[in-house]
This record gives sequence, structure tokens and C-alpha cells, in this order.
Amino acid sequence: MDQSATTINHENDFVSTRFKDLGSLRFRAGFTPVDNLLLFGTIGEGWTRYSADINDNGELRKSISENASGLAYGGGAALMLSPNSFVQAEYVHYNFNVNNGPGPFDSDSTSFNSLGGVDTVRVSVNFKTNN
Amino acid sequence: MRKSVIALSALVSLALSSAASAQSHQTFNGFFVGGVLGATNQGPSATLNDDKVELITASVSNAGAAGVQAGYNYQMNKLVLGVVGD
Repeated sequence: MDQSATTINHENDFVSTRFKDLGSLRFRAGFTPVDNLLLFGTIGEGWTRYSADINDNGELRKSISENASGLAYGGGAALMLSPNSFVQAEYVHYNFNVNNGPGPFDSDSTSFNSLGGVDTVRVSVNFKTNN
Repeated sequence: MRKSVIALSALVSLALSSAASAQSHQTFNGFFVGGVLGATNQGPSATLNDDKVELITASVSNAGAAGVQAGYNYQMNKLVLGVVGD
């Protein structure tokens, strides 16, 4: 999933960051208060591919691309539609702490930090086996 | 994105209409795979510092998201345990 981008500007300098290819592997546990309805919570590990382009006076000074991981958690509901299908609505928060490094500008005293949390709300249509 | 939302809405509507005739006592047991559409309401933040003084910080960017997921659910009476990857 290509998620989001942030651009920050300082005079003629700017930084563009992006989380993309969000993924996760999560456990979940829930209960069925009524037939065909599942309420659940979920927690696991999330991954992302992170990139940042740092420009100085319109010139690309530094380009960063790296993977990051962090906790992913949330909850949702699923509604059984047939023996082989269900729809699901889910909230998942990804908590990433990525990239702390030297800044792109003239002085060694500059630094660039990027901290990321991503909130996602999603719906899905799923097809299932019966066992 | 709009076309995807419309397509998903149509698919959900079709599925919901079939749900009326679905049998009761179905379980969530089994492997599953599905298509996912969603949105983010908060994106990454980035900060530029000079001599540890914050120059500027910006964050929050709304965006759409699309993908696939797959997993397995195991149901024991009203309790459901599972694993999912996306």
C-alpha cells in the first residue's frame, strides 16, 4: 500500500518523505456476540518501505530509502455474508520510528529526524474456505 | 481511487444482498483472502534540526490505500482466534 507523504519547507530547502508498501503480520482474537458478526482486536508487527528526498536550493542533496518496522495494532468487525465470504472493517495503527541521521545542509550540526505513525481505516471483502 | 471505491461498494452491496439468504450458524473458520481499500488520516512527520534547534516540522497527509490480505481464523464457539497478513 502506498500510504502518505509529507513535505516540509525551509526557505528554499524542502524534504519530502513517504511511507509506502505498508504491510503487517498480526494475530487477532475476537468473539461473536451474534451469529455472523465478529468483533476483534489485533496486534502484531508492521513493516514499511520509507523514503525521503532532501533538497537544497532546488538541488537533491540526499535521498534516503530504508525499511522500518514497528508495532501494529487495532480492531474491527467482520460480518459473514455467506459460508464462503465476509466483509470486514478495521482500524490499524502502525507505529514506526525511522531514520535519524545527519542533515543535508552545509553544517555538520544539522540533523534530520523522521518519526512516523500511520493510522489506517480499511474495508475489505474476503473469500474463505470452510475449514 | 474513486473507481475503486465504487467497485468495492458494488461488491459489498452484492454480497450484502446475498447475506439475507445466508444460512445461520456459519463460522469464521478457515483460510481467507481478500481485497482491501482504505485511507490514512495521519502520515509521517519529519523534522529538520540545526544545532538541535527545530527549524520546521510538518506532518499529516491523507491518502488512499489499496492492497490484499490473507489469513486464517479458528472459531471455538463464540471465540475466534486468527492470524492475518497484509
